[in-house]
Amino acid sequence: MAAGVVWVALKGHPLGVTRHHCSVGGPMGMLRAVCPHGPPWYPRVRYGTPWVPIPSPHRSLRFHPRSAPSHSAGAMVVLRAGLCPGLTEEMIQLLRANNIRTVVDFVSSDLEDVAQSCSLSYKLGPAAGCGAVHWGGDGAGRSTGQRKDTGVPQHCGQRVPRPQAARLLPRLHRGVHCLPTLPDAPGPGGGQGGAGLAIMMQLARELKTLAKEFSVAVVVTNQVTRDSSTGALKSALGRSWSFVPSTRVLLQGRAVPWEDGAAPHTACLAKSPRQPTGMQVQLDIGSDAVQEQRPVTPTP
Amino acid sequence: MVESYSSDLLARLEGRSSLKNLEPNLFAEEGSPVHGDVIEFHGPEGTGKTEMLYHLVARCIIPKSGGGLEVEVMFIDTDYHFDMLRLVTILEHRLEQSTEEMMKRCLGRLFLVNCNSSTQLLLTLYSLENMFCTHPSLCLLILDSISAFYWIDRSNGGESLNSQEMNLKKCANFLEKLVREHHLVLFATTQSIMQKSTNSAEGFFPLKLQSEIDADYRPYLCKSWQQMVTHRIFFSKQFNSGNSTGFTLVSCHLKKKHVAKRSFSIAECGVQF
Repeated sequence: MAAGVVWVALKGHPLGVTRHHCSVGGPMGMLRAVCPHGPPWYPRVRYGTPWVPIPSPHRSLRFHPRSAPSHSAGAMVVLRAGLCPGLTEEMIQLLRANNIRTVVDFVSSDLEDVAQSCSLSYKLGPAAGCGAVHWGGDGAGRSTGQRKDTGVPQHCGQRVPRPQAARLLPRLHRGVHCLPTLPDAPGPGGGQGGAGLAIMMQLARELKTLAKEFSVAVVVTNQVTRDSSTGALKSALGRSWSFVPSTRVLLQGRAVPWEDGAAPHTACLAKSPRQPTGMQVQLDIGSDAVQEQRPVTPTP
Repeated sequence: MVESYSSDLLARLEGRSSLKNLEPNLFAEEGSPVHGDVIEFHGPEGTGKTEMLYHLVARCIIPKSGGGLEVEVMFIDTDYHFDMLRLVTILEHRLEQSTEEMMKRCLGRLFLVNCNSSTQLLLTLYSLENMFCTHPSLCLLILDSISAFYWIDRSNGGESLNSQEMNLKKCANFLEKLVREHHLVLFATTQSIMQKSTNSAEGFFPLKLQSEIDADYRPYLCKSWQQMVTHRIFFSKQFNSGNSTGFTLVSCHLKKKHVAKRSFSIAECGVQF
């Protein structure tokens, strides 16, 4: 018996997300009207949610969330000459003499103290801070705005390295984006850093970014296991993964595969951000395609 | 100058006191949060933490004429969890007249930010400081979730626990400063990603409370965060009688050691006690 757990159901399906992609009328259309359009480098959220208008007094940081550095690069973004107008080599040396090396050091320092001890013009200091944060790259010098032509789309069956995920999207059709069974990610392992889990969580973050930024539904398959204490079914890959999907559909197959008329395949909604759980439909997996039968009453 | 300062101060005091009836069921004895409170929602997935946040957001942004508090909310989303359509559905059910105009006004009181790494969270918090200065009625800060970067930070920090926790520690310190200086109330969610320690004599709660708290709780975030939390609320699902929408929360006031247990369900209109 093959039982699997699928993450995020299909557009138009009763178990699925439907309103998410509408662009005209309805709640989304109305919401879009609420939002004034500000400069692209103000922190903001898409899909018509209220924009965050940040006024620009001396400490304001203007950066676009997507152009901010990646997790590993961020902590390491070192101030360097030319990062913004006014940030000269001389200034860099002065800042370093006061233990300010990275962007994070700069923004978490007291600007008045910095201005005094570095003899910076106070006006220049904040401008340098603002400019330094408004980097156009991902900390490694690449512009995240570029979309390179990658040739054959690599979405199916391959682990996508981190910076390339965003580059694949223009080649994919909007709608559903499928990944086969998730790679086995080792658990925290012998004490040192949980690298396997970190990779898995980074993958999760990439998938979510893809889904959100490019309006695609991302479907992932996963196995199920039984909880050792309660005996209940739960999805594999552990606790940390369990928080990642927003929707979960449990697929169950025939109990006795060689007998006709045995329990058919069912799909049950186990988790949803918008609908009550427990809804079930019967599936008929024939030679052509999966056909949906009428819904069954949910078993408690 | 003096006039604008005092009117700003009054506006802030007004905003502060207006969190009084936010959600009495979440607070063990005192019934309402006090400015400076840091409330942590902890629990496994699917136990209603984010739904409870939508409930609080709705309570805040609905105007007083509709039974709400009419204050502004800042929502920081760290794992692309926030579902605007769900919030709108909840608002539609709770408002008597859910006209477009009314919705716009409600949503105008919500500020929403996404963060993708702990560094970005830190820089975002710095940049948001001015929001709190310029919006005196912005008195609720929500962070869903603060534990989202845990494994990634651990992996990036190498061998040193100090560098693994550095970013979150800075975030926690700055959050404390924001909450204190701007008289905010902070709600943050943490995910139960660790199994309960087998050594139950860890001294988190006195034995009397231990039996009440059936929680699979093991703290894993940095000390700076642990020390600033004033209330911890544990969420769990009820497994009795096949009621798939039943949930339980146990609310603990960490200093006074008060505990309260409540049941709730989640309907189309959101959390219901």
